[in-house]
Amino acid sequence: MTDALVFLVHSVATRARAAGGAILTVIAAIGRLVRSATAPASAGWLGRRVAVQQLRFTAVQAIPLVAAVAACLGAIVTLEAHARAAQLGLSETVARTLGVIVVRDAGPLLAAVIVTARSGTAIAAEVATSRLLGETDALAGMGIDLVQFYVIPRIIGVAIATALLTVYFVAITLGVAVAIASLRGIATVSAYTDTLRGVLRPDDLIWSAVRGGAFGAGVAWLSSAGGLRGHGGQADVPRAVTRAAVRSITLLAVTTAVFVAIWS
Amino acid sequence: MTAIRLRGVCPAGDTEWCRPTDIDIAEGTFFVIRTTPSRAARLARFVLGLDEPTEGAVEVLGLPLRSASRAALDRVRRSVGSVLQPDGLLGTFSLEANLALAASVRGALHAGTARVAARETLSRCGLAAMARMRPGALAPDVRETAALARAIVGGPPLLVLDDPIAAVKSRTAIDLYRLCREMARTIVILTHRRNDVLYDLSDVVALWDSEGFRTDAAA
Repeated sequence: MTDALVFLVHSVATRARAAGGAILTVIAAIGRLVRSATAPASAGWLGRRVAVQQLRFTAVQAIPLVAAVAACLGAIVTLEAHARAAQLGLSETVARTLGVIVVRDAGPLLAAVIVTARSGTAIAAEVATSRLLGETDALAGMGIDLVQFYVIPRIIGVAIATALLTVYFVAITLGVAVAIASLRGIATVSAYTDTLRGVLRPDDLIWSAVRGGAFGAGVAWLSSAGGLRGHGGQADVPRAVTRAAVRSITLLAVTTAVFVAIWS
Repeated sequence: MTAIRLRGVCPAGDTEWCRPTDIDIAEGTFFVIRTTPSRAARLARFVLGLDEPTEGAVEVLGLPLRSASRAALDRVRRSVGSVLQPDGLLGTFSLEANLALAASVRGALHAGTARVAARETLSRCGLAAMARMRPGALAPDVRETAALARAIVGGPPLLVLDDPIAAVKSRTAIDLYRLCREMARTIVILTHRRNDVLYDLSDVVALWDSEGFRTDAAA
């Protein structure tokens, strides 16, 4: 009995210490980010170029993938949900639900998941490889703040890109849903769009883009800061990629759940 | 004045470094230290403040690094041109951009002025035709020259070069070392090879091995 109690207390204490350590690490990382963001710029024009390159890679080059995923989502949900809802006379409810879910939650979430898979992992691999090749040491040796060079430009680039991709994702998903509903005779284009107009406010899309941007910033931060960690060994590269993907997706899922719980 | 001063540097856990070492490198000298690659790498990292010795003190351009603020350390780093191993040229940018970044940081220059300085230095190093190329596309000797060009662009007061141009032909190496002398006041070259060309150009040659650090030994 005593042994079991000791074991239980020890387990709880160990986990509490680990959780406390993780919280302190996050606070320290946020502090470092804020300190670098408010310090005089050391990376200068090359930092701006990194942000533009990141914006181009994450926003422009991801358009086909985002379009494909958004179109599939719109088609699948419309076909599956309407087939069952029509039997119950709930087609309009499905249209409303789809509009709300896509604009308020699924749009930012799925756009950010695509950004994680495509750009977050790439950022983590690129930064960890830079460390392996001595680029981070060379920059630090020149007096350049690594957070200003590697982290902040990527946060800016990915945040703007994810906000734009969210709007794009929402537009494609709802556009495909309206088109399929019209083609299958579920609802006319005007009836479907009227239903969506009735349930969505004009600022919903803006908030959706803002949330997508915030998600993108989080993904870029976790990925680039994670890439800077470690000792610069070869094993750090795959480790950084895995860490970036797992932490980003966890952050997105938990944050979306919290948003839904608070505002639904 | 002393450009670099090491007092009792002796990181724990490394038997190679167990003897505390004092080194003074006066400003305005061309100083060659022949030592092992491991010591060379550590010394360069200590001088740049990338690592801190567990024992002893390092002073660079009058600043004691251990007690230095982050801003003061960055100011000193901007005054030191360096080549480390690996060279750390940014693989996603052209040579011109690599040098322009270093020039803009050292001289607080705008992008346009920094690019002009970068092109001029590349030209003086014989790399004008390769300004738009990325480091990954270069032959080893050209890459070494590019890393050296990045170290000297903007004329930093102090150069710390870890085995900088080992693959470069002797005649070209002489020209590059002369260019270093012209661009920087104090030059510290760390090498593990005997290099008569380099010794002839230098003011002081020191040997740093398990016996200690000595400038009177024939390196």
